[in-house]
Amino acid sequence: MSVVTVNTSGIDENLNKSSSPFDYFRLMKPRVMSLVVFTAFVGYFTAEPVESYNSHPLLALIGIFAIALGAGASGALNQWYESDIDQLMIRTRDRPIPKGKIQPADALSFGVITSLLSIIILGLSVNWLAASLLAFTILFYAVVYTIWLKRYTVQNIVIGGAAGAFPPVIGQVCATGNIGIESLILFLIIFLWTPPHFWALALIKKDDYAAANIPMLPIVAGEKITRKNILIYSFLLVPCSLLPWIFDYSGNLYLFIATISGLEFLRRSFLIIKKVEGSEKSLFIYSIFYLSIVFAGICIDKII
Amino acid sequence: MNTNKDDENIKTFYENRKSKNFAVLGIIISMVVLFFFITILRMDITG
Repeated sequence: MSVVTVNTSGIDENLNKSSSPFDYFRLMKPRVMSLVVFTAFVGYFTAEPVESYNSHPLLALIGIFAIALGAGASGALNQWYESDIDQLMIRTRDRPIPKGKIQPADALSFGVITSLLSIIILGLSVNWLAASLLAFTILFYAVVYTIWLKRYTVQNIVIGGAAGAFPPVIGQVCATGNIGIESLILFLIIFLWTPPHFWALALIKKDDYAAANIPMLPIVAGEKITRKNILIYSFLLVPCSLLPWIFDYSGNLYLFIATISGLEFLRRSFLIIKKVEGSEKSLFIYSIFYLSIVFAGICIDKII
Repeated sequence: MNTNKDDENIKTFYENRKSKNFAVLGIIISMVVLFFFITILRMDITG
């Protein structure tokens, strides 16, 4: 899909830069997509069925696919807009656009088309409330976070975290046609989980972010304040993870899983405050496991 | 006047374009099938 210009001196260089389907798959940030699918599924699975709302499991499956497509679309739009800073960061310089595998204009077209497709598929297969929430999420991530927040405010990932927190809400709307407290609790858990997760990464990749001039907390406010904020958000996150049990949506098994994994989260956050070597990486990796185990715990508790 | 390298580039370009056109065709067909299934399943719910 490269732009080709034939001039008198010969053939344009872009002619031979072919992109494979795998490059487009990478453009969609597959790891983020998998997390979105998982959290949306938990939102769908944990929703209490509503008698007045008819749903079909296959349509719900198509709905989850549409949510994944929407997440991928926003990832593509994000990579299109950030292609200039992606070149400057070691972490992102291997992405398809900085590598020259995909032209920025192609990434933009791909992102816009897949966004529209995902919204239409979700609207037709499930309902238009879910579709409008997906449209809002894509716009929030691609415009509010990527264009407005990321380069201009230190609170970028705090506010931008809302984009990643919407999938369970969309999942519940797919199941019931309405937004309920269950999914809002899941929203809150992801929202509070995002800052410690990304600030731990920012501490590890501080130089990378500084090279790209992104105002992450460790660069703007320093490492000490970042470490303190990680602990504060961890203390907010762990009690909030108990809300499904407090509101009686989950049982004692979930309470056990959330408490044990939450205490470990706090322990690792304390190690960050104490500046123990490798504690940042340790928390970053554990935070991914933590979110997975908490959300899986909700599902396991419901099944048992 | 084209050099051998230019000829090779033109050949590669047409090969790439052909495979991309097939990919787009595949996506369009899968969308048609998907929308067909969505229609049938929705008829099943409402009907």
